[in-house]
Amino acid sequence: MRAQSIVLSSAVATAVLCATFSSAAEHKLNVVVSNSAYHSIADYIGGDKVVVSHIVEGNQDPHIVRPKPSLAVLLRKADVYVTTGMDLEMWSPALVDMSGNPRIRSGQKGFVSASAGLKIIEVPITVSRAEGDVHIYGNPHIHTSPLNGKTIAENICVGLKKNAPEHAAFFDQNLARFIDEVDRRTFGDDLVKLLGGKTLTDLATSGRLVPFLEKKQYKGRPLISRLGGWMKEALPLRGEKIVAYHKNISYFSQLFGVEIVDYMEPKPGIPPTPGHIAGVMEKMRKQNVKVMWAENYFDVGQVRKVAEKVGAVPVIVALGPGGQPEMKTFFDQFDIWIRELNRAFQKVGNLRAS
Amino acid sequence: MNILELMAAPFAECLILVAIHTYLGIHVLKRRVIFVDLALAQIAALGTTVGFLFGIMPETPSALVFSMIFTFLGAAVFAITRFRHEKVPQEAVIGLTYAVSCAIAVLVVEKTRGAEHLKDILVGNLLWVKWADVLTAAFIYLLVGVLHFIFRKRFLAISDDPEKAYAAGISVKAWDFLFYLTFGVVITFSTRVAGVLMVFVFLVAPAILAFMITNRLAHQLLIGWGTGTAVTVLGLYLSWNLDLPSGPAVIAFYGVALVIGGIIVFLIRARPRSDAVRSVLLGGVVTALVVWSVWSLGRWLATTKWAISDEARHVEESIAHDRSVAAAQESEAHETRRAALAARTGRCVGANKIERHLEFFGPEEQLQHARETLRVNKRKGLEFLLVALADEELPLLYREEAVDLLTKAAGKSFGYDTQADMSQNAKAIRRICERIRLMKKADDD
Repeated sequence: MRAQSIVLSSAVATAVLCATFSSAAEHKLNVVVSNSAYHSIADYIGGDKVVVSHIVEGNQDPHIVRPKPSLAVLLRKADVYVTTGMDLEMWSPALVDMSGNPRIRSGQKGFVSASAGLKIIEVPITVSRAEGDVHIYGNPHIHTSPLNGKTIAENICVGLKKNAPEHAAFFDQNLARFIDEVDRRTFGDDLVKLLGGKTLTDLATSGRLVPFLEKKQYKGRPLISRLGGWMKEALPLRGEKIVAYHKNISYFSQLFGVEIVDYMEPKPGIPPTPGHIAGVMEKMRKQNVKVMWAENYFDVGQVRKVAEKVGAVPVIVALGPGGQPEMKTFFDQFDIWIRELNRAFQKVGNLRAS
Repeated sequence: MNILELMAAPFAECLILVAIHTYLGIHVLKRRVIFVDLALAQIAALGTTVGFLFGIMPETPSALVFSMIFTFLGAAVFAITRFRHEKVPQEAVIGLTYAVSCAIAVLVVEKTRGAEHLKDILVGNLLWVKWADVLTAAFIYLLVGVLHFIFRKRFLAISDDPEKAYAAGISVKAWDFLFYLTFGVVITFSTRVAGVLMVFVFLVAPAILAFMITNRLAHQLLIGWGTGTAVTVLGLYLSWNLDLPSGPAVIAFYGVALVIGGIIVFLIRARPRSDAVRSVLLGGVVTALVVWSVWSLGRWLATTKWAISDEARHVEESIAHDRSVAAAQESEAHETRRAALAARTGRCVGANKIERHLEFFGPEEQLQHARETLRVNKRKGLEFLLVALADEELPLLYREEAVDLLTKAAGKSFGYDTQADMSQNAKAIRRICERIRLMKKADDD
């Protein structure tokens, strides 16, 4: 009886020890990212080897964060910290200081700048704060193009590998899977097979993709007939005009060819003024612009009011994952944005027809 | 697009705001509770914010109910804290109420993750007011106005001389509560549209002007309404003309109007007038000097290194770092690709041709160049085709095109399989190499 209980208790002890060891071996990387889009990508690359948390939710203004004690605590525990690395998160350096975590300072092993190596657009020629909160290094809302997601994922992957080299192969494999999924979801399987993601991405980011596909023949028919994915879904949007609230979706509009004729804000970050809104409404009437776009963290009432006055259809969506119920991942963003824009333009078409 | 279409509703809203707030403002000045409206407005806003916590969106009737409830509570607090023989000025209680409700609003907003709407509470959204809102507010203000007209004697008694009211046996606490209640209702409706700051200005500024000029209530009201309307019209017009946010434009213009009005009243009243004129001129010169020094100091400070924030420096360094890393990676990738191509083409192609191949923008241009070269010089064209076929990154479509070109130019495909990978095609590449060497030899001979 006694022997039995000793065996039993030693078995329990071994089990407990094993559990402790294995949990030490299974130490997960603590990854903190600035916004929810990076969260979705970091989850994909890190899988079950990381625990990811983000600071700015998909329905919040990424420019503003009120420092809270909990954020400093979050960053203190972080092994890897991902921000855009431009001047989007001006609150970030203060937060890193507050956390007192030396690993995630810029240039250190735990710091990842998501925008490194990206082709940045809208870099201003002259810089003045009088022009609103201009981003002096160009437009930092990089997560609004699926293709940028590939570079963001590469940067995150490098950061993860530096801090958990034992899982390098796993991360690399997930990165390859992610890049492949972005390519397929953007261009469709057919074109990815024929032209490869890199060639397609080069053509798309330099604005030459659609004319090229229309001209280039393969097996007797133009390549455009083989286009799939978001690019195909967004083909009806190409060349259509919209008015947006803030310069959030420049990368999106560049990729899918939706033309933003004006913004509700007179200058980025500066709230609408009467004269400017009057000008915007005038322009919408003259150029027959019938769709308006605003992220749901702005004053949606204003957008609806202007839309009502000029007979336009407002599209109100979240800027990132988690910002509205069905938008859960980086991929959902584009599904929903394109779907909502298509619906809006269909509605406009129906109105015109009736 | 004309000024009327956009500004008519804000203008009407301003007019009814002036009408009711000038009157209430006179009460507020008499009672010496200047900040009571800020406090009540903030309590009303807190109500909306707390409603948001339950999922009630701002600007809905339910949100209004919430801010009303909070306003009633606030009115009760102010009525209770007014004592006949006060030790602590009531203004202190009012200020404290403002600060605490403001802080609680921030805390509540933090829990709901909707901080973006908080700044609307402060500045308001005058420009976006809807006609329906204007009409509702006008109706409510009218009710309050009628109520105050009926009981004007009581309300004025407790505002003018509470001591006499106490002595006359009026229930000061009850009337106080009613006063703050009606006041709170008005404030709730006004802050929804105009924001805390603007409501405060509408309340105090016309009343101050009126107080400067006369002591008779009827005259005070007329002066307040007149100047209020004039300043609002001009402020809105400026906002339209200079394209400034409407609320802040009107508020700032009120400040300017008060200063100018004060100077005019001072000049009219002063005896002897020459002394007064001299003081005003001196004041003008001093003001100009102060503005000029601040302006030049600002211009100078902006150019020194003290004006560069840590954040800006940090971002600058981080971007420079990223660029150098990206550049290094790119040149490394380029180098590996070049070396791989050189190895795979078995050195039968010149290094300059590989370099050339890598310089082109994408496979379309690479093959285009090979095609053109084939027309001029078959051997050189084949060399470019070989580099393309040995390039791992050449997409399938172009691989097939390259094999077509190869077959046309050399009569066969050398067993190159477009679906296979590089190691499987190594043999084919060697055969093409062999052909190029033979052609070169023939050329040399």
